[in-house]
Amino acid sequence: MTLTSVEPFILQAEAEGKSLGEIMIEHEMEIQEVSREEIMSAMGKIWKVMVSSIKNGIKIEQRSPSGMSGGDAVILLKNRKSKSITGSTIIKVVSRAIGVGEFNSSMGTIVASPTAGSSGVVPAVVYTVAEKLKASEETIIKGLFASSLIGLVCDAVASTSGSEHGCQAEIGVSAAMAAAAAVEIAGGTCKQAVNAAALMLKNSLGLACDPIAGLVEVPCIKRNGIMAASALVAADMSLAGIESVVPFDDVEIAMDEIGRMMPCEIKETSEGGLANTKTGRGYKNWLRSSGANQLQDASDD
Amino acid sequence: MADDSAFRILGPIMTGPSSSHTAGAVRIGRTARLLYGKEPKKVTVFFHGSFAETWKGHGSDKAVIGGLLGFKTFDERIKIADELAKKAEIDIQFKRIRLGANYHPNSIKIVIEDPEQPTEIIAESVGGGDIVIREILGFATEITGNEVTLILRHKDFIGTLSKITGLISEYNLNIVSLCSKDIPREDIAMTTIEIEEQAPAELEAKLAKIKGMDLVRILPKLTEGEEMF
Repeated sequence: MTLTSVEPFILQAEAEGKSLGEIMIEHEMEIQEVSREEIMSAMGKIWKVMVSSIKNGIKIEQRSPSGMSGGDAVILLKNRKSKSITGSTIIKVVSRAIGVGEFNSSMGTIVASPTAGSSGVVPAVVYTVAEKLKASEETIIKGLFASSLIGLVCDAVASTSGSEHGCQAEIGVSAAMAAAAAVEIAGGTCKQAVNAAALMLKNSLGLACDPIAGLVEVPCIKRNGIMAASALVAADMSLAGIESVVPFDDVEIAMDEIGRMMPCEIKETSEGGLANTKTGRGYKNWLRSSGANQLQDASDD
Repeated sequence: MADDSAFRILGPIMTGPSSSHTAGAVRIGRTARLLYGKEPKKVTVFFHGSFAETWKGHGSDKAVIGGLLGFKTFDERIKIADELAKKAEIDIQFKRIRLGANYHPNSIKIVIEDPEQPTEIIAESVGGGDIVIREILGFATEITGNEVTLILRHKDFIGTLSKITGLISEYNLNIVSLCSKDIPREDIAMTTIEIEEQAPAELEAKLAKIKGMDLVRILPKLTEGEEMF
């Protein structure tokens, strides 16, 4: 079965007075036919890998083999006290999301959430909100479950693949998931969590997937950071009572429509956008020739 | 996994950065290792198409080495697989190859050099970490690893196939697909059989005893070890 609407979940949550995370845990128990304990411990394993990807990521100082990324989380954390305008919560969430992105591109072990290229946003947002609100591990796990409904519905109605629907479907969805998780952890209602996701996804529509040289580095890594900050803003707006005029189910349909309209040059093919700039092409040519030149031809034997 | 499971959207746990150029490459290396059956000592890896150009940015070399060491896609040691192989004194060379237009742009050929047991595969990384094994020891195959796969090379005797399927049914295993091809004039055939569940080790031993059988391997499902429950 695929989940094509958030509406039944909102109705159920309201009728039973439960949060989105709670409803999703019950849903998972039902489809897996296992106990609540097993469900919680399975998500606990996912969370453990997420935490380890943050801790490893924010320590990275080395540049990647392409030279395009690496060390930016460290720079941001180091300079945050003297030079920050936004303050420590935003700086922390951005550096953590960038850290996971850098860890992924340096062959670290991450959780695709929903993809490897967008794997920084959900862990960074959940970690930062939980730290700030001193949330328990159980609340964190509920937050992750809350985020899953958003991702599943987007995946069923539109896509969570940059090659099919552009980066809106990867980072946009990950940020919408993160916004819902943040509201859940802060104690918000199911409606508020889904509303935060709607606010976030609306503001990611149309994002191109145009990675330089086809590598998961530029613009992917820093985009994880900036979208993690936006997810916190969307969660705060929703918790304050601001409603998205367009409900989530309509936003995901809009994302699907826009995704279908997007040209293939900006769907992970690296033929348009940033990948096709002078800088982008320069990196691509240099990487391809240096990669190919390092290999001896089989026919030279 | 169920379409509406949270773990489909929060997961899999994997080693970055790319499902096709990293996770797929790990799986191709691991398949070669499983086919060979033990730790190889001397290996040549040939990158075709996109792998020959972008391997460095995606860590495809370390990914293949990790696979050859028997690692799964989420193993944290993939990052240092090259160092681990050096320590284990495994000689792994990387070369560029042009396999031709009939091969998928993301293809890898792996040759494990061992005069007693030469092993050679050509495999494609087709996206999302999925792979297809196109050739084993020169025989055309179409193995995806979605199921447990028996790989059997044997003399082309009449009745061999019925002996093989007879043994499989003895263990109450359901056959999903079966493909058998011989090389004309060479009197040798390759049979690949997909079954639903992991086969007991005894089956492997019994298959090996069939007259004319010279290679028996049972490849587990590609996603073995990734189950959440």
